[in-house]
Amino acid sequence: MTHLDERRLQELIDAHGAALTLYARQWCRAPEDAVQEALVDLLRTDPHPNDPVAWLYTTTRRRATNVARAESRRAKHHRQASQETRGWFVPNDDHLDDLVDVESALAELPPLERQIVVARIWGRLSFSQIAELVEQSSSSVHRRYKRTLAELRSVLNRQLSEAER
Amino acid sequence: MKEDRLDDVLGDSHAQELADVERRLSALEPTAVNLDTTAILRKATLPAERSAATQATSPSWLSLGASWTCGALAGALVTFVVLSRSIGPAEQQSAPSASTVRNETPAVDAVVVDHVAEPTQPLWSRSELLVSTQLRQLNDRPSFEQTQLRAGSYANLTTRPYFDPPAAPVDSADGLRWEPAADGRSPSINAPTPSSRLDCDRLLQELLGDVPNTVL
Repeated sequence: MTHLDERRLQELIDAHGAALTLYARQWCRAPEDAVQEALVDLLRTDPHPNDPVAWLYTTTRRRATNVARAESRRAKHHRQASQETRGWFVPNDDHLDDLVDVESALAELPPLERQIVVARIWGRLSFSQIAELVEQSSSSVHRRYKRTLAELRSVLNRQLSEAER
Repeated sequence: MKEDRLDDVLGDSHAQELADVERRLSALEPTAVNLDTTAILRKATLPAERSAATQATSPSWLSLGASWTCGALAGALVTFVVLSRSIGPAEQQSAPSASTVRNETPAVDAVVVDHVAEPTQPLWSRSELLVSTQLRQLNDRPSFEQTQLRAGSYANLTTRPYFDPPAAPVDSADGLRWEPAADGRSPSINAPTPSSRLDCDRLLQELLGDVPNTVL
């Protein structure tokens, strides 16, 4: 017996699936598998978590690390997954130039800062939820978030200036 | 509240720039994920089915364990019967010869020894037989006190029957032989009759060859 029906599950996927996939992409090359396993875990969990979205991020991270471990064990699957890797963001005519820049800028961030930015901007989690997710204090999370945004701004501005030249 | 305070510290211009970066990043839409909700729901309900399957297969495990236990008990019973049959005839069967029994059982049981034939070689030599016969005769001889009581006088305990050496020398075992009495209960001595009674002085004189007064 599950806590969610198919309609509620689909709503959850539509609202948070993309952000969860982006969040899981930091660890593994098959983030969909990690998100799917996290959703299965959510349906199996008894009792139902009070904050299912925050719970999903925590479980997705755990599942993503497991997937990454499995990928490292299977080199063949690893190569295949790397070939099938899609872009992190949906191509958009207005922000077409930002896609590669943001992807590369996010890829260069330290893991903790990248988690905080992804969970805050695309996951729309509060700082207290992120603090619980990354096991840091809220003030520390907020400080790191502001600092990481500043780093991203400098990186994006540098790339923009290089493109203008 | 903390965010507002932090924004104040960072400054308005800096906060504006960060907000701009935040807007640019938020404008980017992550790649959508295509997940099959039916597959997820089916996978989520899989543990319940697995537990039901475990319950369904539990009787088979029970039967397997029961059959294994019955097999172990049957094996133990068969082993017990076979061992009891192999030991029983060995106890009832008489040994064909002494050498066979000795070869098969180094530690011969008392029951088996009774069935062993007499060895061809004598166990005792002639001298050992003679000694054992003499010892047996000595054991059958009545004690000195019993002899005196049968004679009927305690007064005679002070003097012993004296066998006169020249009259009746005991030079062979035949001279001192114990024979059963006429009533068959007490033996009587078949010895020469003492010639006279001896007192202590004369006995000492004869034994030592000296005058008792010189000794005492």
